[in-house]
Amino acid sequence: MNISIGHLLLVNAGIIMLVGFYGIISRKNLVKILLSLNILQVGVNLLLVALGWVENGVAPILKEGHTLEALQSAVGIHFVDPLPQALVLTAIVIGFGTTAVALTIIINYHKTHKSLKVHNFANEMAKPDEEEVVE
Amino acid sequence: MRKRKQGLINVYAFLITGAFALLIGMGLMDDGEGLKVNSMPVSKRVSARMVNKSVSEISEKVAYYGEEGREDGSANIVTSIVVNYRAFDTLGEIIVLFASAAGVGLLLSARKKKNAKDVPTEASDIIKTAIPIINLVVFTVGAIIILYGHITPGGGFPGGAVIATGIILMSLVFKNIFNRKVYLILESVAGVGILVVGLLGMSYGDGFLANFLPTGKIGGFLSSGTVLILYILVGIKVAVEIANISSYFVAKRTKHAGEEKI
Repeated sequence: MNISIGHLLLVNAGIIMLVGFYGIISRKNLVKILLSLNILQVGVNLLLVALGWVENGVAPILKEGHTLEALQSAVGIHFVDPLPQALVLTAIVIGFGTTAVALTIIINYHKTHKSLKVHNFANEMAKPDEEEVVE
Repeated sequence: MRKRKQGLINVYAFLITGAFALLIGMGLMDDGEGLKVNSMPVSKRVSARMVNKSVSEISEKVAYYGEEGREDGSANIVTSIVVNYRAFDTLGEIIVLFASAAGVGLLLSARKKKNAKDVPTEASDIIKTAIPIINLVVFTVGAIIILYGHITPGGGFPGGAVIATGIILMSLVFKNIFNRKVYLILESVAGVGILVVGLLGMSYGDGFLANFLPTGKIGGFLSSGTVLILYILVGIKVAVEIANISSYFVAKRTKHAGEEKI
């Protein structure tokens, strides 16, 4: 099995996504859960861009040094697939918008519950600075 | 009533994540030839038409630097996809940004004054002298990234974020730097401008947000029609919206310690 750069990029994106997923299910502080969600979004964006990898590809920008013969021949200059990169631009901005609204929800949660732990949600017996109370 | 044991929860979460990874790995290596990657050759994908700049008519002519008169004139192929061929998706993304800015403004508008004794009232000397010098570079680089978005990597979105970073850095030094009324006017004008360009494209060109201005030489500054105008408007809108969102999160510096209005 040949391991090429395309495989390594995909595996990297997958590892980052798994790290974010682990953070979401195991943390009890709301800000840390939001940070893990952001890490998951970074992994997804990397995965989308890595799916457009082409062997020996260059960045999709027409430059002055590219001659017409090199662009037309079969073994000349190949461009990396530019369509996933354009879609990931949108995804990054949407990740920013989601993080902004989630932070305001955390601020409002802290005002009503006086704590940043997940267990204080709809749990009247839990005091703000105590560990989890499970019936 | 039992206490929560964080160590056990960590181990269980690690096992669940490992099982997930194994499941995905088994599925990816199904046909016995190693990891499945995208195996369709580039010449058969839709992107090949966008790289050759021949979406409206099918031709095999390759686009190169310095050519004139193609249907889209930007040297940066990703810019030509984001602002020209798929400009409607960019319009949807701008609407999402506007919705998130409106959501933050709506949810954080009613906050009481609180007594903050530990907010420093005056910036230290290092920040006061360094940030205006740094901001010269930050604003210039942001403007260059926006203006040359069709020749070099970048465009409206990263350039707008860089300019918003400059505004946030200034708020560490000066007192009343966030001006929400000015941001509201700038954002509305930029948004309406994008819609007006789209409607002009509908009346003078092929459809909504079509490129109706003549395209010049690939690689020149005034090439590529409406791409430059749209990206400048997008850059202004993104910068102003990010500064607006940040103005709700950054505490303002006051003259006297004690009372702070958030």
